[in-house]
Order: sequence, then structure tokens, then C-alpha cells
Amino acid sequence: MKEKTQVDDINSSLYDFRYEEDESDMFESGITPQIIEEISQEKGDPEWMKEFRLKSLEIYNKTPMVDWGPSIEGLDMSNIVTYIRPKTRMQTDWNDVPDDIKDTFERLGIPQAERESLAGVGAQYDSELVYHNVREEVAAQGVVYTDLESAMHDKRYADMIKEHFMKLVPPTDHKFAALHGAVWSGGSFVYVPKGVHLDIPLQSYFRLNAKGAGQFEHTLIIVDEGAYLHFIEGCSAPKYYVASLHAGCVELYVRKNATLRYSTIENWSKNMYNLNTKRAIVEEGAKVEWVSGSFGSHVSYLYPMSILHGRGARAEFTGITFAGEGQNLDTGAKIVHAAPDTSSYMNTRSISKSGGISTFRSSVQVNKNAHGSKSSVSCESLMLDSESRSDTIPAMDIRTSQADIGHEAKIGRISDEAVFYLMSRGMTEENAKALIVSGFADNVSKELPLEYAVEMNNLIRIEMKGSIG
Amino acid sequence: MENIKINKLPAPTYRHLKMNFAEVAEADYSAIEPEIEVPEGISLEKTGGALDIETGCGEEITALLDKLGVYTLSAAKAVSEPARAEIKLKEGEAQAVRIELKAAAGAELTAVEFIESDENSSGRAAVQTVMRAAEGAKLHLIQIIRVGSGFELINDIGADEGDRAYIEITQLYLGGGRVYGGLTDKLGGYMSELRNDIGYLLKNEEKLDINILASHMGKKSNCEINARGVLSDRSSKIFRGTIDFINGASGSKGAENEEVLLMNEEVVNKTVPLILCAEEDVEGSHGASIGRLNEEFIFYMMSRGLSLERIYEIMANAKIETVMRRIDDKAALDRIYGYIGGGSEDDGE
Repeated sequence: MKEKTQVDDINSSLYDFRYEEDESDMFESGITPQIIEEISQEKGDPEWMKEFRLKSLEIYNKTPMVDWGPSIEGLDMSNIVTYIRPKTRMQTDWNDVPDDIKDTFERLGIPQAERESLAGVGAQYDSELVYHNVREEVAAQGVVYTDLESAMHDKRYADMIKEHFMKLVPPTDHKFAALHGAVWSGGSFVYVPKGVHLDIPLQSYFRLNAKGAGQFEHTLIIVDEGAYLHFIEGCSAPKYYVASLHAGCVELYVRKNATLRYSTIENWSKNMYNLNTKRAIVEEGAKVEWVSGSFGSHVSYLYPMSILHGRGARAEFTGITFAGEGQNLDTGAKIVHAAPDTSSYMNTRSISKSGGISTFRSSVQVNKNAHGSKSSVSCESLMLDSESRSDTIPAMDIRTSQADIGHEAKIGRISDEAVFYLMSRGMTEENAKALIVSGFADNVSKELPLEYAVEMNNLIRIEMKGSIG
Repeated sequence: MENIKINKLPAPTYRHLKMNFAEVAEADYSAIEPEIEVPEGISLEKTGGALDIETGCGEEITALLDKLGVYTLSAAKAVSEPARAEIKLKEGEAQAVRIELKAAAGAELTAVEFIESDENSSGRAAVQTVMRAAEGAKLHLIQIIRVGSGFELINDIGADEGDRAYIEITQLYLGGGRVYGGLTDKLGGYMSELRNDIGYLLKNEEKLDINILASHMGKKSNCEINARGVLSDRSSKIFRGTIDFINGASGSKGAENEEVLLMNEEVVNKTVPLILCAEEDVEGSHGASIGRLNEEFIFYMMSRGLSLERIYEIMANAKIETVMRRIDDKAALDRIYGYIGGGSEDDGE
């Protein structure tokens, strides 16, 4: 009997290790004004932030739950611990980080990556940053890379934080943005001064170790005029059998003629509800490039948004999603053309297998004043079996005649013709199929720095057995 | 009266885009008599009651129409001459017509529906057409829609196909204040097939709201949906087109294509083309091209002596004429040319 080609689920065993939390460090589960006030007190918030948190809680309580997209019924907010007191203050030397946390990040390869290929690293463990460091030569150029709380308390940056914090993603945006506003903790602040071109990336890594907890980090990046930054974000968690929540927020300000590349490899455990919000505002002649790999989580709602606010602003989104057993990953991007001569390009791939559900969801809005704008969206989905599901839900709202909008989407399985062609060139059937699946993901892996591309290819480990059924 | 929701997107998306459904006020529709002309080989009878079929506009409008009588046109064999239904809408009334088209196994039936009112009239109307194609049958529905600038029209279709059945629907929306078009086709039969061509010309403040669902249930079923149109002045349009591959519909293919020419700064064009897929062995695709005329093309045409206005007029009519190629009924073509100009006596430059 012939054996069918097998494409393995994402191998998450690398990330599935844990250390016990001291329960006395965990705040009470649920969301109440008392808990918000305790978090605020614990973190020594300025008064405006404490008020902001409490106001966000009010908005959270009034905002209805999302009524489209995957079900989040399994997420009981009254069981989620929103804050875990850190075991250590933030360190700038790995040697000072407690052993179990240091061991966690070493197993994830973060210190090694810092030594070899990064300009700076931030590492968050549960609710707080435990390590942050930036190379001296980078700091000497005026680049600021620190945790958001330190920046908020530093008089050099405090006003900048107050001016920009949750202005792109206000708490009124949706229920989980409001939740984030109330309980946010950790995350990074990056400022790249005018004209500074960072040749090597900065990276933040987020690890949620605790059971039944939430992580709510806030990333705020300002790339000033003519500057360049590549920022990499990684995230993982061990697997538990109770729901965890990630409701982070990323706000990116890309000033005139600047470029920001924001790369994410998301590999949360399969008990995670990943309800993250990412948004960029892109000024005249500037560019934002999103590179996104979504492999983990039980449920994901993830649509990085680019607001093209200045003439000639550009956005590119390149994404891959791999939904395996028990996963419902609803991913995509949103673009708003809000100025003339803006352009956007979206290119995504998704793979569904073993009952996994993958949905590509997008929106392209072209405002009345966005004359001369162009947008191109291309999405392709690969179904590897009939237990799985793959949906494409793109939306376009065009309000000027002076625009050129193109959209194309395809859903299908591995092409018999392509397999036949490769076999006619001497390949075995299983190698031909392996090559096709690997090539399908290539558009994203080639956009990543080499070491991350290798990691991604390892994640999509393809195992071919026997001949094809 | 309360509002009802029609044209619901089968998989809703971001609320702020306001694309998930349309709302219209509930109405107490009364039946109007269409003039129906049937050729030899097609029977016509008037029946009543629920039609037990899903339609594109949805169950809330169906519930309001179920009390009305149904004009059923049936073919037991292949009939080449089309049946024609003149649906003349009157000023002011909430009026409705229900028509059922049935083709028995191996039969062929073509029906043309002219849905019209006086140009500046107002009112509310609903036309519901149900299409049932048995094994190997062919049904072709041609609709020419042109109602007054003050009219709200709901044009709702439900279709059901047996093995190797073929349904073709050709629709031309040539005017109307607020027009809602819906189609749900259950491609339940093995190798059943749908072809839907839609052409529209919108002007002034006209609004067109379309919801198409091709539900692939049968193996090797096939659909092709093409929408082509022009928006001018302050008109607006939303096109929801869904290809749904149900688990088990192996070997099926679906393709959807939309071309929209935008001719004024004030127009609003919304498009949401969905592919829902629960079957591995299928091929689904959609493409959309939305925008203005290519500048090089305009330059070339102007160098041949045509004004910009004339170039846009030619290109607008070209969108409609592409759809008209699916129509071989002279009476229908003459009616369309009567609305858009041109035709066999007026095709020279």
C-alpha cells in the first residue's frame, strides 16, 4: 500500500520547557480596578499612567467582545493572571540574570544571537524585562533601546512616551486594546535619531513561562527622519493545558524618508490566545516593511496595520502562517492609504494541515485624498489535507478614482503538474513535493536574516516518507 | 417598521468596514403581476408557498415574500426560444414578484427578466427568482435591471443544481437608486456548473450592493463569476463574492474576477471577494482590478482624435458589452442598447 506524503506539524518541542513560578509573585487572576491599581503601584507609574490604566479598564468593560473571526470562548478572563512580579530587576549583564531565566534564554539561543548578529537585545520573562543591552557603538550614535518603563521614568524620554503611548492604538480601538491599556507591562522603547542607519538589527524576545497568565508588553519605536532600523521580535511559551493570553501592542512611528523593517517569528504554545495589535504610521517618503511568521498559538488574531500618512509613503507586508492540529490562526494585514502617491504591497502564504484552520484576512482602504496610490495584494494558501480549512477574506474600500488596486488570491493543493515536471527532471515524487512546500514558504524565509530563515525552515520541518498515496 | 439584514457576508470581517451586511427597512410587500411570455415547450403556472431554498439576500427577505404567489416556468425538454418576463414596477408601492424556473433532466430553458420602472420614479420592490436545474439540465437567466433613481430594489436569486447541471446568470444593472442583488447557488450535483456575469453602470447617487455565494458541494463542480462595471458621479458599490468549497467537493474549481472602472473622485467602491475552503483537492482563485484608465492608453486614444469624455464613454460601454456577449436574445440586446446607446445601427465611430 502506498503511503501518503507527510508534512509534519511545526515542531515546538524546542520551546516546551518550563520553570515553576513562585505563586506569591503572581497577582490575583481577573481584571478589577483593585488589580489595576496594584499593578500601577508595583510599577511606580506616574499619575497620568495610573489614570490611563483605569480609564482603559472602563473602556474594556464597556466594549463588546469581537463578533467575527475565530472563537475565543475558551478564554476566561477571570482566570488570567495579568501581572507576575519579577524575580529580578532588569540587568544589563547576562551573568546577573537568575539562573533559571538565564537558562531559558540560553536554550532559546538569545545570548548567542546577541553576540553574533544583533546590535541590542531585550528579553522579557513573563511581565517584565529582565535583560536589556545595546552595543556601545550603537548607543554612541544616539540610538535609545531600553525598556518602556525606564524610558517613562527618564526625564529625557518621559514626554516622548506620554506623547506617543497608545496614540496609534487607542484603548477604544477594540476590547483587547483596552485590556492592554489597563494591564500593560514590559516591552521596549526604541528611538533611532535622524539619519542614523543601523546595519544590524535590534531584537526583543518575549517568553511567557507562567501557567494561566497573560503577557501584555508594549513596544514603542520611533525612527526619525532618514534613519533605518531592522527590529526583530520573537516569542514563545511552554505548553500548558489552560489558556494563556498574549495581548501585546506595537506602535511604530516612521518619520519622513525613514525605513523600518519589523520582523516577527511567533511561536507561542498551542494553549495561547494571541490577540496582539500592531500599527505603524508612515510619513512622507518613508517605508515600513513587515515580515511575519505565525506558527504557534491556539488562536491568533494578528493584522499589522500601516497608515500611509505622508506623500509617497510605502508599506510592504510579507507573511507566512502554518496552522496545524488544534490551531485557528486568523492573520493578515491592514493598509490605509491616507496620502497621495502612496503604495502598498502584501504577499502572504498560508499552509493548513491536520485539522488546522488558517484564515488570511486583510483590508486595503484608499482615502479620497490618496490620489496616485497603488496597492497590490497577493495571497496563496496550500491545503495539505481535507481535515483542515483555509479561508481568504480580503476587503478593499476605494474612495478615489485616481488609484490602481490589484488583488489576487489562490487556494489549492500541491500541483500535480509541478510534481510531474520536477519528476521529469529526475526527482523522486517525495522530494518533488518537499521542494514545492519548501518553495511555497520561501518568499518569507528569504526576507529574514539568515539565522532566522534557518530557524524558520527548521520550524517547517518536512518529512517525506515512502511514495505518494 | 424595523430594519432587516440582507446580503450577509458568509464569513464576516472587520466591523468598521461596514461590509458584513446591508440593512433595509422591513416592508409589507404586495404582489404585482408580471407580463410573462412563454414559447412552446415551456409551461407556466401560478403556485404559492415557501420555495425552500437559500437565496443570496437571505432568509429575512424570504420570510417577507413567502406569502406571495409564485410564477413557475418549467421546461421538460430543450427549448431554444427564451421566455420573457416584463416586471414593470409602479410608483410608490412596496411590491414584489416571485418567479421559479425549473428545468427537468436534460431540459434547457432561457428566461429574460426585464425589471424596470419609469426613470425618475420612486418606490420599493423585491424580485425573487428561484432556479432549479435537474440532472444534465441547462438554465440561463438574463436580467436587465433599470429602475428609477428613487427606487429601492431587492433582486434576490436562489439556485440549486443536480448532477452535470449548468446554470448561467447574466445580469445588467443599468440604473436604480438603491439596488441589492443576491445569489446563492448550491452546486450540489457532480460536475454541476455556474457562470455568473454581472455588468453595471452607476451614476449620480446610485448604490449597488451585491452578494454572491457559490457553494460547491458536488464533486468536480465549477463556477466562474465575473463582475465588470463603471462608477461615475457620486455612486457607490459593494461587491461580496464568495466561493465556498464544502468538504467533499473534491476536484472542484472556482474563479472570481472583478474589474471596476472609477470615473469620478466622489465614487466609493468596496470589494470583498472570499474563498472559503474545507477541501484539499480544489482550485480557487479570485482577482480584482480597480482604478482608472491607464494613462498610456488614454494618450494613445487621444492621439487618435478622441476626447477624454468619449474615451471613458467607450470604455464604460465596453464593460457592458463584454457581459452582453453572453446574451443571444435580440429583444434583450435591443433593450440594453436602448439604455446605453449604440447597437447594430449605431456602432460606427
